[in-house]
Amino acid sequence: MFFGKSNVDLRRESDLVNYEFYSINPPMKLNMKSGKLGMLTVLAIVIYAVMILSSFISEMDDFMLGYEMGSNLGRSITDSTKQESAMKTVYFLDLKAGESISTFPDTIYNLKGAQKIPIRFDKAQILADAFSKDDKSALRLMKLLEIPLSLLMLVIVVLIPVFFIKLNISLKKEVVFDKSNIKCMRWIGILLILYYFVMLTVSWIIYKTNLMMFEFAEYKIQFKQPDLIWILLGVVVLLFAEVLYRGSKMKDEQDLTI
Amino acid sequence: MAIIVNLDVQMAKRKISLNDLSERVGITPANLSILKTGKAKAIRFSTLEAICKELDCQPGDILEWNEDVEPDLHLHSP
Repeated sequence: MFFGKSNVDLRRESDLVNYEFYSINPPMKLNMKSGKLGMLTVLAIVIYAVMILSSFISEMDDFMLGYEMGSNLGRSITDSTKQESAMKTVYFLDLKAGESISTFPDTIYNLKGAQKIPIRFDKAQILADAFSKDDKSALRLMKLLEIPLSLLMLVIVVLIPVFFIKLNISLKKEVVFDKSNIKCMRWIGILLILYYFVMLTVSWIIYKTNLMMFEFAEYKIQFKQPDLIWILLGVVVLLFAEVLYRGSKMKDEQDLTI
Repeated sequence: MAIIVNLDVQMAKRKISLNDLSERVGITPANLSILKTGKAKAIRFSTLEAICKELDCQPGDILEWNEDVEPDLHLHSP
C-alpha cells in the first residue's frame, strides 16, 4: 500500500478514472535524469534566444533607418520647414537583375584593383515618398495592415518560449504523458506554423505594394518567401504532440491495469 | 465493458471486506475498488491468481462476459 500527492489534472475526459484512485496512486513517473533534461532545455532556449537576437541584430540597420525616418516624419508634422524633405520613407526591396543570371547591370569601384567591376544587387533600400495620412488608397491601407501583422509576429515569438518553459517545468516534475504537456506542444506547433503564414502574408503585402510603387529598368522586384523551416518545425512539433497523446492513452491503460 | 466483474458477489459470499481482501492480495484498496466497480482496463494473471486463492474460487466466478453490454473500444480508436 502506498500514498502520495497527485499532480494530475482532475478534469479528465475519460469516465473510467476516479479521483480516489489518483489521490492514492500518483501518475506514472519516469526515472528521468533531470540534469540532462535541464541542460537540453536550457540549450534550446539559448539557441532560440540567439536566433531571435541575431535576426534582430542583422536587421538593426534597417530598423534604425526606419526609426529615423519615422521620427523625422513625426517632427515634420509640427515643423513645416522640414515638411517636404521629411515626407519620405525607406522601402526595402528584394531584386533580381535583368533576364538572365549573367546580368550585372551596375558597377562598383574596387579600391584594391583600382578599377570598376560589374555588380548586381539582390536587396535595396530606397528612399521615396511616404504616404500622407489623408491618403485613403488601397496601397496605403495595405501598408497599414503590416503593423498588426508584425505585432502578431512579435506576440508569437514571445509565446513560443513561454509554452516551452511551461513544458519544461512539467517535465522536471517527471510528469510526461499529461494532457497539459500535450496542449503545450500542440500550441507550440500551431504557433510555429502560424508564424510562417503571418510572415508570408507580410512578405506578400510588401511585394505587392512595392510593385505598385516601383518599376526599374535593370531590375525586377522579387517576392521573398519566408524560410520553410518554420512550417517544418511546426509540423514536427505537432507530430511529437500526437506521439505524446498516444503515450498518454497507453499510460491511462497501464494505470488501469490491476 | 462487456466483461463484468463479480468480485463483490464473491466477497459477500466469503464475508470479506475490501480492505481485508486488498491486504491479503497485496494491492491497494483503491485498485481493488477500481476492479470491483468494473472500471479496470486489464488485470494481471498474478493479481487474478491471488484473488482466486484468497476467495477460493475460479476466475470464471469473478469474470463474466455479457454480449448485451456494449464493449468499451474507445481506447483503441485513433
